[in-house]
Amino acid sequence: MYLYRFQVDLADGAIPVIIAARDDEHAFQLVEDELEKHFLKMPTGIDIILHEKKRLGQGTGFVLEGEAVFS
Amino acid sequence: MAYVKHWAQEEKLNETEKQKLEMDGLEILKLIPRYAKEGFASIPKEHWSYFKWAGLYLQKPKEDGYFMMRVNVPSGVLRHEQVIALANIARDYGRGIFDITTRQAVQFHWLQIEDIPDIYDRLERVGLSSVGACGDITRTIMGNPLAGIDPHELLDTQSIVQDVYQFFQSNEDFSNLPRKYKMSISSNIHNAAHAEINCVAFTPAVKEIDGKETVGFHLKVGGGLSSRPYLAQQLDVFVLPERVKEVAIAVTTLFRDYGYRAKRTRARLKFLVADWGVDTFKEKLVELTGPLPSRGEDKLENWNAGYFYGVHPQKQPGLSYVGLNVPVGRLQAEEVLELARISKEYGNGEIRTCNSQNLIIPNVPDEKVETMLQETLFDRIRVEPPHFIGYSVSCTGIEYCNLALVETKERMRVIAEYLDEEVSVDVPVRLHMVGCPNSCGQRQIADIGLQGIKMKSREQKGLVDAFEIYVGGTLQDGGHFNEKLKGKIEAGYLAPVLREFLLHFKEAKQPQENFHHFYHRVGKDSLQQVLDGILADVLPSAAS
Repeated sequence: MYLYRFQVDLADGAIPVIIAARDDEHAFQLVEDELEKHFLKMPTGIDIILHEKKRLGQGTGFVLEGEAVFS
Repeated sequence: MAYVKHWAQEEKLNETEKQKLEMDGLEILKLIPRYAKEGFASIPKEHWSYFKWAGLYLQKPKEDGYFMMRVNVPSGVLRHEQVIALANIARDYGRGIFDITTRQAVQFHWLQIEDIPDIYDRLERVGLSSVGACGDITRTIMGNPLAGIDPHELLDTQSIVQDVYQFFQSNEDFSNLPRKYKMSISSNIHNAAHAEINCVAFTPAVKEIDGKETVGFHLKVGGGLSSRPYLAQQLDVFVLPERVKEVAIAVTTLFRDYGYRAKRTRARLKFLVADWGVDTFKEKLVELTGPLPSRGEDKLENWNAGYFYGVHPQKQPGLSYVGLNVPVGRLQAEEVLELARISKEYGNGEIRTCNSQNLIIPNVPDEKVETMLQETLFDRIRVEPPHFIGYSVSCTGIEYCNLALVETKERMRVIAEYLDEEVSVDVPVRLHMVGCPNSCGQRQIADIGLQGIKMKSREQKGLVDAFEIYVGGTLQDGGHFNEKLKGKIEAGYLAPVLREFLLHFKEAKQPQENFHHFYHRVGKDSLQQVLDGILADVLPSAAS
């Protein structure tokens, strides 16, 4: 398993998304699932960008900085 | 073991530290013969990470049981029989792949546990070792690849490097450091060993002592790249050549005993140096070494980025060294054997590896140089390479690395060769490609750094490899890490985007102005505007 750090680019900003998954393909699918849960109406024209992955274990994490976050 | 692991009693130790207290990393060396007999399946998963201390990493997917091995090459100096032994290992066990790393080491892939004892025997017979090439330990010591033959060194550092390397090699007093630990020792005035990105670096200096100008070293501590890069800072000390080992041991002791073990992400020496500051670090250092003279005159003049292309006179009259380009650091075993033959026939059999992933044939009598250069090997391994393939660096990438997101090595080679056909510029531009935010390809110090990402767009089917661009990295004048430009480029468009970007550089630069000066003259915002325009033109649907 890996812990993935994504950035989702929307028309008006970017959202960091963190996902645990077994492989890259699965991780992208899970990001979409999370976005669908998050947004009342799914935004169009988004880009999902994988920046980094780490082996998942106790204490694995990411510091998120420097990205604009929109709710 | 002659010291007390006082940290063993600490409450907040990370999981790796707890594991290291149960079994020291070097203990894996005793288990390897048994695992080799019983096969990969006999290795418990909890022992996989210990293989790092033996210089071995599992390739991806780990379950398949193939290893990457890194062999230490202190200061990059390889004797003839060592070159032959390494080439034969690559040929017999490593599917012919022979990589030169950004720390002057040699790296193999596709090794199996059954092969390791024989590989170890072969290495030992020629005085080489992979022990400590990975793991929480003193890694191979980076140095001046021209040590001993360099007209631009203050003194020959070969014996110093060997002495320090041999002291730490398999030394159980220093086999449990908080994290990886990287050292460089060089007396080359062009900063050939990248002092600022090592945990500890000895750099050339002179000082008047007892009325006599004395050659020695200045000391930098706390540098390192990874995902949180820091530049090493200089301490106010002058180190005599005969005290280098003592000072190296003292710095390593400070790291071992005071380095942070609660969080692995804050364990490198750079965090301790950042917290203590260089004055406190010096105070702690001299508690171990006794008084050290204060700083003298720094003799670092500039930074050559580890490049030595062409034919150059050695400090020994009548002899030359020849700097060669190895495209993105990858050779085939047959090429290395051919290189060994050539270096023996025309030189003394030595080759030297460079942290630019290249190599040098030293000790060629001047009258033999022209004949040597007619060898067909040099059609690919060029003496005067074009500016892009000649100055391209790449990490291993997704081909073997568990953490890489994209393919890098072959992609970098193809793009660099394309750029050489498309863009003719009067200075080299250093391109570094990496497949993740870690720094095996030293992206942060590149003129133009290319960092791999994976992307999924609603306009596209499936996942695509893409890259972000960073500009303006250097180790000149103490160093400056490159900075990210906005925008992401699908891998398929990277070559034409770089072409346009570099054509702009060519048109806007002053004669002989290098990218670093250009970047500082025009500024990041200006380059961002240029990139934005290129993305709008070249990426019609994906301009961001």
